[in-house]
Order: sequence, then structure tokens, then C-alpha cells
Amino acid sequence: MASAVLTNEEVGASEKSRGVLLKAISVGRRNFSRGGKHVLLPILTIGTGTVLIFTTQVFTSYLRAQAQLIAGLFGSTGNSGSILSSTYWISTLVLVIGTLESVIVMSRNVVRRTREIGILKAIGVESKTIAMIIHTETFLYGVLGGIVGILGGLIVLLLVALSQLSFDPIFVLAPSIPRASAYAFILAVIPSIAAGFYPSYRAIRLSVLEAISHEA
Amino acid sequence: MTRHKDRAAFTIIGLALALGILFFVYGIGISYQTNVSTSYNYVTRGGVNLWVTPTQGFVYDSQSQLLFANGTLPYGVYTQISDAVSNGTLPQSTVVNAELIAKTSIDGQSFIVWGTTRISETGPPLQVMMNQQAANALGISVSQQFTLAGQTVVFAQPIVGLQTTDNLLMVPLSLGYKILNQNITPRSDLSWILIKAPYFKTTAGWISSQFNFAESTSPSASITTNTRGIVFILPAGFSRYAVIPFSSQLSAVSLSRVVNTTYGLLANVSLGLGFILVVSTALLNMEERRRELGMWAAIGIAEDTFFIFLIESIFVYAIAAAIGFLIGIGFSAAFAPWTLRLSTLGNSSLALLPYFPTLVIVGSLVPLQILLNKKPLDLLLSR
Repeated sequence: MASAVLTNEEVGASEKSRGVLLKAISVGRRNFSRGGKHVLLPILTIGTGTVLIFTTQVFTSYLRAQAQLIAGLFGSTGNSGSILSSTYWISTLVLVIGTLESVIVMSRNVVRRTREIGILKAIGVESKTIAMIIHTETFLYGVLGGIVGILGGLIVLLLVALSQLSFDPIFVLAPSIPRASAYAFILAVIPSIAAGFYPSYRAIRLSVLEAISHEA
Repeated sequence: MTRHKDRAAFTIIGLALALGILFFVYGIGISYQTNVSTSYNYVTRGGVNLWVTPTQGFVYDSQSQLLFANGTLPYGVYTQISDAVSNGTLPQSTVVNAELIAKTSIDGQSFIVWGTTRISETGPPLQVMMNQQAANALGISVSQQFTLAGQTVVFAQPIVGLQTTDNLLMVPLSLGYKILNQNITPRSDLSWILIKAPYFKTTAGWISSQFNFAESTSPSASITTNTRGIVFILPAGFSRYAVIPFSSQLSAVSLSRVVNTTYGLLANVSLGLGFILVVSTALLNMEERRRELGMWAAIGIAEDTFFIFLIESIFVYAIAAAIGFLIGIGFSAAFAPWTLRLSTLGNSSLALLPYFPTLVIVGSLVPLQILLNKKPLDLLLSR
């Protein structure tokens, strides 16, 4: 019975769609490496945001002391808890600003590749696949930005140790590094995935005829 | 800008977030700065130009949001300066006032007692001033008489223009001693002496040589082991190096206490990223219009594109600043509602104002420079 067992055709279709997905990811990866110097800026801006998140996570005790100091300037009206939480929000917002750069670069790429996307559509490539290509690129921005950010954060930690001429800060803060790295990395990747939505929406919306006749 | 509305929108969002963060951080700093300035202005009201304090200077007590002396001055200093004025050593028009400000408790409630010779000792009843909180705590209304430290006093007028949330009682100096003697301070101590001198430079020199005091035109005075106190010279232009008034230096010090922390760093990094967004958007737009710009360059008017970039970035910055202002208010309301005051908002806008011309001009110059470095032919032939 057809409902219980997958027909050969259906099996073929699911394998085919998985193959298309992998193909889309590999095309996205290739497009990413084709980007040349343009990929640097989003990676660096996301990286900067990630450095801030990493360091705010690692130096929590220091920030708490500083939040108490700032709230203390206002006596009983000040609230160090809310000042401290504002720090986390600010560092997250900095990451969002960094991610916007990848949105801008990606939407430029869509404009530049209008013709390419038109041809892909004309030969029957599904919109989903095209979206996947774009998502792969922004995802890679996030991953690389996250890695750059964590490395940058470790350098900041090293610089702090150097400035105090002792490795004590590293040993003291070491237990929080894995957690901070994971947190910063996840926070770098999630907005990057979200950053793909707008460019892919634009790419999907393109009409084939206009796209093919588009002059770059 | 309108050619790529979406890209401009993302740029504006990014820059607005950055400016919002900056606005928030500056808001906290400026709120603190305002509190310090308010207290300072109140202490030095009435054209005081010399502020004589103990060796350790003064501190801002954040709990009560008032300035306190850090230590004590001997009462003898005040009497000797007053004598010098009455016997003609110092000009007759010199006005000298001594003040003593300390925390104490009256009837089991905590009070800040501010004894001052600014309030005359004529009476009875002696005149006292207090703020609304103190009046509520004592259950007294204006022009009502009551007894304080065994003396009949009258609530002459309320204290206005000070932010403190504590009970503040301003009394004639002798009454201040009576109130405080029962509790803490030995009689012969003063917090500071305020002098309004016609020749403040000469007067400052006389005081410093007479009592071995240090003279300072800035809030951070350099003292030695045998310094007995400090004469702060408040007006600007005392010497050729002191062109910035004392009050501005005090403001700068108090602002930097917040802005020089990690928060200021975070805010500036975010602004840097916002700036990168603007420049990179301008560069991307430029890249897409290479041939157009190549033609401009070929006929020799590439420099004029500066104005295109300039107007474009002015638009972006103006819109971003407006949105950033709202984001900043939202941020302050959420995380530091105690800093949210109309004066703070106005002052932080003013503090951020110098950023704009800098950002606008540099943001337009960078793309222009890159454009001018390219050969027109390359631009025309590029795809």
C-alpha cells in the first residue's frame, strides 16, 4: 500500500532534496569565499561585538564592582543591579550593530548577483534553495565572527594579564572562559542566521525576467 | 540614499542603536555631574571666589548628594581672616563666611546640619532654613516658631535649589555648634570658609602665606606634608595656565568618573561600529555607481561628489540621532530611571553635539578619498 511504504519515487525525492540542500550549502560556502575582501568587514564587526560579550561575561566580578561604583554615585537612588544588566544589554546591542553590517553586505551581494539569481530561478532552482545559499553565507559570517571574537577576547584577557605582570587573572577567570565562549559564540551565530532573512526574502521576490535583464 | 532605502534603513538602525547607547552612558555621567554642580553652585552662591577647605579638600557625599569637607579647619583661621578684613590688611569689601556641615541626629531622626555665618545671628528667635523633607520630619511650616537645641527659632524660609533627599537644616553657625556639640564635633572646627574678595589673587596669596595653605585653581590640588589647608581659586584666568573655571573642571572630573569606565568604552566601541556601517554603506553605494562616478571623474567633477556624500551622511546622522535620542531615553527609563530628568536630557544632547560634525565630515571624506584615488578609466571600464 502506497501510504505505508515509500515508493521509489518518494525515496528518490527526499534524497534529491537532501542533495539539493547540501549543494546549496556548498554553493553558499563557495560564494562566501568568492566574496574576497568584502567578507572581512562583517566578520570583524561581528567579531568586535563578540569580543565585548565575551569580556563582559568573563569580567563579571569586575563589572559588578564598577556597576556598584556608578550606582553608588547616586546614593540610595542608584541601583547597581540594573546598571550591571544594562552592560549586558549594551554589549548585545553592539553585536546587533555588528550583525547589521552583514545584512548590508548580504543585501549588496543579492543586488550584485541579481542576474545570477535570475538564471538560477529560470533553470528551475527552488526559492528555498536560493534562500539556503544566502543563509549559508550569513551563517558563515556569524561563525567566523564568533571565532574571531572569542580569539580577540582571549587576547584581551592576555593583555590584562600582561598589564598586571601576572598570570593570576587568567587562572582566576579560567573557569568562566568555556561558558563565556559558548555564550558569545551562540549570541554571534543567532543574529547572523536572522540576518539572512531579509536578503533571502529580496532574492526570492525577484522576478525572473527582470533579474535576467538586470545590468550589474 | 533613497536608491537603496533598505540599506539606508539598516545603517540608520545601527547608528541609532550606537547613539542610543552613547546617550544612555552620557546621561548617567551627566546626571551625576549635574548633582555635583548643583551642590557646588549652592555652596559657592553669591559670587564666592575663594573656597578655603581642609588639606584633604572636599568630597561629594552621594548618599545625601551634597558636598562635605574632607576633614576640618581650625576656627581660628576664620577669626584671623575676619580680623584682617576689619583692620584693613585685606580690603574692607571682602566678605568672609564660615560654614560647618555635618550629619547628626535630632530627636532620633538623621539630619544634615549646615551651620553658616550667611544667616545672621540676630534674634531671638534665630532664623533657620530647611528643605521640605526636614520640615515634614519636624512637623514645622514656614514662619512657625519652635525650639531647637534649647533655643527659640523660626522657620524663616525653605531651602530651594538643592537636590538632596535627606533632611537638611541650615542654621546660624553658633546654633549649628550648639546642635552638633551635643553629638559629634568639637566646637573649634569648621568645614570651610567662603570668601568673596575684590582682589582674590592677593587675598589667596595672603591666606596661603599666613596659614601655610596650598593655592589651587583646579579640584585636584597638590599638597605637601606641611600644608594646613587649601585655597581653591574659583574664577578662571587666575594665571595663564588656568583658563578653565574651577566649576568646569569639577564638572569634567565628575563626568569622567562615569564615562571613563567600561561603560564609556562600550559606548564608544558601539559608535565606532555604527560609523563603520555608515562608511561601508557609502562605499557599497559608490561601488554600485562606479560607472556613473567614473564619468564624473572623467569630466573632472569628482570632487563635487563630496557634497553628495555630505548631504547623504547628514541625512543618515540626523535621522539616526533622532531615533537614538528616543532609544537612549528608553534605555535610561529601563535601567537608570533616577537619571531621567529634563536637564540631563538637554545636557547629554549638548555633550553629544560635537560628535556630529566630526562624524559627518569624516564619513563623507573617506568615500571621497577612495574615489579620488581611483583612475577614471578604471571606474568606467569596471563592471
